[in-house]
Amino acid sequence: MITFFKSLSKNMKITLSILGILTVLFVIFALQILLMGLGYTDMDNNFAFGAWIIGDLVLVALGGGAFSTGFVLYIFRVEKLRPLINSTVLIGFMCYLFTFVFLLFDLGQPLRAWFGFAYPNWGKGVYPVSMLTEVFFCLSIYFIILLVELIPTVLEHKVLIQNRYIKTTAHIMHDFMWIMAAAGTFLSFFHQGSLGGGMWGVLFGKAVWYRPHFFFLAVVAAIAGGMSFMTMVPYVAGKILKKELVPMESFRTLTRMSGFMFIAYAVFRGYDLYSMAAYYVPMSGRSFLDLYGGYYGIWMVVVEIILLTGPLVLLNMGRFRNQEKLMITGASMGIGAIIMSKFSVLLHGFSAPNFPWKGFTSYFPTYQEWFITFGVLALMILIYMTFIKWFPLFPHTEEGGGHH
Amino acid sequence: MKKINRKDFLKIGGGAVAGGVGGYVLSGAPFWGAQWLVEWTQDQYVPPKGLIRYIDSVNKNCPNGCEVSVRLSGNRAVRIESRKEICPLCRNTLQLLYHPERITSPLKRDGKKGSGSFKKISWDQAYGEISGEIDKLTGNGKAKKIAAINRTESLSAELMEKFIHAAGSRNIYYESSRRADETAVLGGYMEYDFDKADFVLSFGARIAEHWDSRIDLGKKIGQWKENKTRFIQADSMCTRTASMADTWLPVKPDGETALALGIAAYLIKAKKKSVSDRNFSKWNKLIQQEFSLSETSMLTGIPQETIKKTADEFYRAKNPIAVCGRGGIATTASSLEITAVYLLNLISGTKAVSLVRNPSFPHAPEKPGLENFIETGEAELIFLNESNPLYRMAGADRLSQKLENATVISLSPIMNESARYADYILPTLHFLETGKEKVTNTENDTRDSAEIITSMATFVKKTAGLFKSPAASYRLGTKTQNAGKKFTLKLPESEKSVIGIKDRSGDAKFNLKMIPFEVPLVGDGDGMAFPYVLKSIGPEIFYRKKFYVHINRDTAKREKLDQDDCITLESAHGKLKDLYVNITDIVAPGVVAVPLGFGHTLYTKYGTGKGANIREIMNKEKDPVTGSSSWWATPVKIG
Amino acid sequence: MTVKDVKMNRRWGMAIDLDKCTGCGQCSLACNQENNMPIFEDDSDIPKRVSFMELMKVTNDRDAKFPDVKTAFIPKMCQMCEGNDPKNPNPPCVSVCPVVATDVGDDGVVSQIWSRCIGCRYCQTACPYEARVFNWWKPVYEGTFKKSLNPEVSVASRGTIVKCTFCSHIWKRERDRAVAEGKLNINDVTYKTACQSACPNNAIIFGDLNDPESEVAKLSKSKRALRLANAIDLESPEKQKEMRKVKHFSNPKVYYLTSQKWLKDMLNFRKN
Repeated sequence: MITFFKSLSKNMKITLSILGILTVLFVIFALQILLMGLGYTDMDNNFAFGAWIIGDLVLVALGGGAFSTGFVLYIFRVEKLRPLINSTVLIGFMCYLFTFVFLLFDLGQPLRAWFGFAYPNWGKGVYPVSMLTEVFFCLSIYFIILLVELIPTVLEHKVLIQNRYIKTTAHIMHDFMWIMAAAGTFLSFFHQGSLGGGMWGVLFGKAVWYRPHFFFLAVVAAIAGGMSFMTMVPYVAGKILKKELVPMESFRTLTRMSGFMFIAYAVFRGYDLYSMAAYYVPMSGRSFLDLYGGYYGIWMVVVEIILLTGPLVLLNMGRFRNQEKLMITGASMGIGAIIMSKFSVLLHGFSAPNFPWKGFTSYFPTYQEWFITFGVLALMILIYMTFIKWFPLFPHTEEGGGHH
Repeated sequence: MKKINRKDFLKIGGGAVAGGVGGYVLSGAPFWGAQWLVEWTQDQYVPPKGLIRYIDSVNKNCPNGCEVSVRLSGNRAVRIESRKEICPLCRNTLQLLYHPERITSPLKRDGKKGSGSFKKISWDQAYGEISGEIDKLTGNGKAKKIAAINRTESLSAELMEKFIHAAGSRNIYYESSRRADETAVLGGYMEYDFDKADFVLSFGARIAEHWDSRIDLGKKIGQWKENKTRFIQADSMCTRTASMADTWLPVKPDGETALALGIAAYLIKAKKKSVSDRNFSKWNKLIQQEFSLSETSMLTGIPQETIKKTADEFYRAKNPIAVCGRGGIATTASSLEITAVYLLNLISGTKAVSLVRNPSFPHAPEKPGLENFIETGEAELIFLNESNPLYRMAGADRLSQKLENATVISLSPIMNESARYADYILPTLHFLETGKEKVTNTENDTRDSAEIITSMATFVKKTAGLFKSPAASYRLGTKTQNAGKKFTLKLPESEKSVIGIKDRSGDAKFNLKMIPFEVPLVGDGDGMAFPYVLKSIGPEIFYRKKFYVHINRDTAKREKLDQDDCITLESAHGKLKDLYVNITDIVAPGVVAVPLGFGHTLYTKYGTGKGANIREIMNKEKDPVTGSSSWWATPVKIG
Repeated sequence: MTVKDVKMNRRWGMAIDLDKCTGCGQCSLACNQENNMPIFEDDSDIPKRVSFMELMKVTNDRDAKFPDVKTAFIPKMCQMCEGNDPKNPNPPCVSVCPVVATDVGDDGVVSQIWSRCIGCRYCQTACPYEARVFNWWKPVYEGTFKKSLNPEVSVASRGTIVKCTFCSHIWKRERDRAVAEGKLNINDVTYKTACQSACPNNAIIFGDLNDPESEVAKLSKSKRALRLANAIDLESPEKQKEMRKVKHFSNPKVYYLTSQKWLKDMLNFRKN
């Protein structure tokens, strides 16, 4: 281990050290939160959710790119995406894994987490009554699917693949992966919608959130933003590793589809804002602009719209998309717009007062919350680096032979 | 037999482990294990169950004599219920009964005065030593150097009066007592029959905020609405009382006295009223001259028309009541204000106000007023009967000197600022633990305050035969008698005070007026020891350890203050630090409204160190007649 | 006949007369005592405070200037919402619970089982009245304070949501007593909540909204009555019907009575 560390470049050493420290801090503060309770967070009875649920929303929304990419590759047979698929699946897997981790931290009683499966709030029909029950089940099943999708990548490790059983298994799994992709897509539609939107949209008591279409808006957002995210991650990884992990052509295909979905998203979001202002908020006896005051309020929506113009222009017009920098800018702005919308849902939603004599509230995570959030990111990067190092995450780069 | 090689071993082993884990998981055991883990890690307390029953009891030491019905589970009292209205302290009395910081046995000072170091002693030793001190004083002809400070007019206060009187002293004082102050001015105190009234004019008496420690007044306001009894409140802050009143007269800070005098002057002149008093004509001339309608309007900020209308309405009413005593549980009024308000009642010919005395509480110390005692009194032995004057009185520094030089005996269930200076602390029993109405037991070696006083009397030579029947048989004396017409207008002092009002209204250096206000349940500071009281304090008062004071929007702008700014408030008597600004228009311009009851320096860990004690910088100039300070509108500035 | 054979006919509700409320805080005290609220040395971190009843001081000083200001106190507990259809109640908080830790009883009381709650706080997010509180810290009862704990209400664990239950444990106690006396009709059982019995001004009236003769039912129909932040109440019946088709409204079973216009306006987010 030490010899391995010594063999690394200076930059890599620094990076690994920082990530390592963050991971250690993550463990320390995780223990504090789990053993001594959520009192150490800045969440309160007003601001019931905080940094971690934002993390959840962002991770799930972006991780959702895994299903859309997988769907396009396996169902529509867009083979250009093939080089990306392993990385995509891994990122999706990690996003969901750490969504679980965040959710666990957010539970006041993490040891009772299994109650979600043991006593689900299903009601009478097939569809669950509680959006969170839906999230519990859907997320778990989808997580298993991602796990299955990830197995071939692990099995294709240069040592393991020499075993012929493993080789056959990996091969067969690859062939049948479209079933997983299809099932994953089906499931994803539900929990993308539920955690990202429906969960908030159904809260009919809260004028700041209630709109029946929020579920579907979140699905569209996940597809649009997710595909951009799936472009960004290998792109950035390639830049760092200074080699072409994925052909530019694959990126273009993905961002083109992402750009198209962003048009749909923009239209939908426009309707969303209009319907809130004109219809749903007044119905609860409030006015839209009064509700969008305080610390977070309307500026977040403005920023979101500005960011949204990026993918709309840069990813949909061929001459911009074909320029690498503009393409990446467009994709980043798209991701930014989605993240901003999630922030807005959370921060603004909780900040808005429930009574006219109370003011807008604010939330600033405590260091425990920051370190747990950053620790999760550090862990994700570490896992991703591990896979790049030891597993065939970008198989086409290895066709020429030799693992670095 | 086939030899098992390493690979097979791993296979079998792996299979066994997988099977075991699978079986374990499928059996459900991990889930129950998790449940057990939940319970084990949380170590959650489960209160023992017991037979539920109710026992009725009366708190004889409460000025209201609250009748409670206690719900017991087994031998534990778990809830205070009541059929009648009771006071907040009695409602919350279980938190005192089971307070972990109750003093559990008699204590004797063990170290320097005020050092807070005590040792446990027995009751007999305590009685013996204290009675020895008293005997020594009475034997040396220094009986007058015995004094007692009572909290309110309760049973133990009554017995204390008897005991001190029998010992040969008249030095019995009350922490802020409307009755004592009014007795000093009028020869008796005003007894209001609020049921009879058809018009109530209150001069800063915060009737909805437990004014005069009464518990029935909240309900009365509701009844007034139904009976169409007009209720007019003068106050410089929009309290709940002001909002519940039919009309709120938003007087300038400290304008209540001028308003009362102005109305009196107007009525005397317009209705040609007169009072048979030798000083009346001189007095009348003075107020006619100083408190014409226009002058009063200027002093109070109330339009002339409104003053006139209010005065006429008051006069027209059949049984109007003018209420005196600004504040809630603790009240204050200058002799001038008491005189003016009483005159109003007198000239209206109302039958709803009478001047009475309670023979159980004669309120006749040699020099009236606790501030008077603090300043000039001489005492070598002081009883603190459930009182905490060091916290509650303005001028605590002088009092602490007094307590340092005297033998101090504190009767108190928990440690507080004044008990810290005591030589002997006699822990009192909770009313649920004593008497015929005894409900429950705690294992403390404590005694009922009535019993402490009666037993102590038997030890003292001079008072040995004073209390013949057992302590439990005594009842709070509530019978009052007419005080007669002993009232005389005390002119010279009043003249000075009349001019004084005008002087005080314009102090250049201290450009703001500090007005105290009451916080629900906190009361006069008694509530702060109890966690359930802390749970009810709103964010506009005490939020995340920040103590807020109310300042008007315009005033804040003028003083260049923003919401949540940290300020220091300075008066001629000192500084209050670490106050946070809450900008609100419920207070008048030029007013800093500060909550009462905070800033304990020693009152259990729940009450200590929270906020600031407004009394530290309040007016402490004593009124020449009442001997108490009129601490209402202290001139302050923001430092 | 056994207890189980009788259908519950009661629909508990509350009417709080804000014109009578002096803000003395005794309701809050009684509630804390009755429901074993945790005891903390410093309870001034109000957003994390655990108590079922919040005594809110309300003023109109945002819109009005001195001396046109008013103050009032609003004791606020769980509003026991029922959604659009009282026969098939749907409070905002119940449907969202992932583990069925909260439910509406046949008497209309929104219940909460501490020991089932996993602490996800989704119901708290859903509640428009901030009536649900979370045990951010472990509820502690120092030393002898433990002796005053009410055995009828279980002490909650850290990390669970707790809320006002209209003191339904008192109902259970009264029912058990009635059954012991041979009265098997549960509809004969009435009770008083802790806050109601503590109010010295009779400002809190609790009772059965289904019984047209009950005081609370009469008060709920009073001209002075309105519900907290429930915009639908302000519309015409036709408009209400239309609005109900679009979405559920919280429709609480707690009514606030006031003759003060400013307060009426404030209770429903209208400017005055």
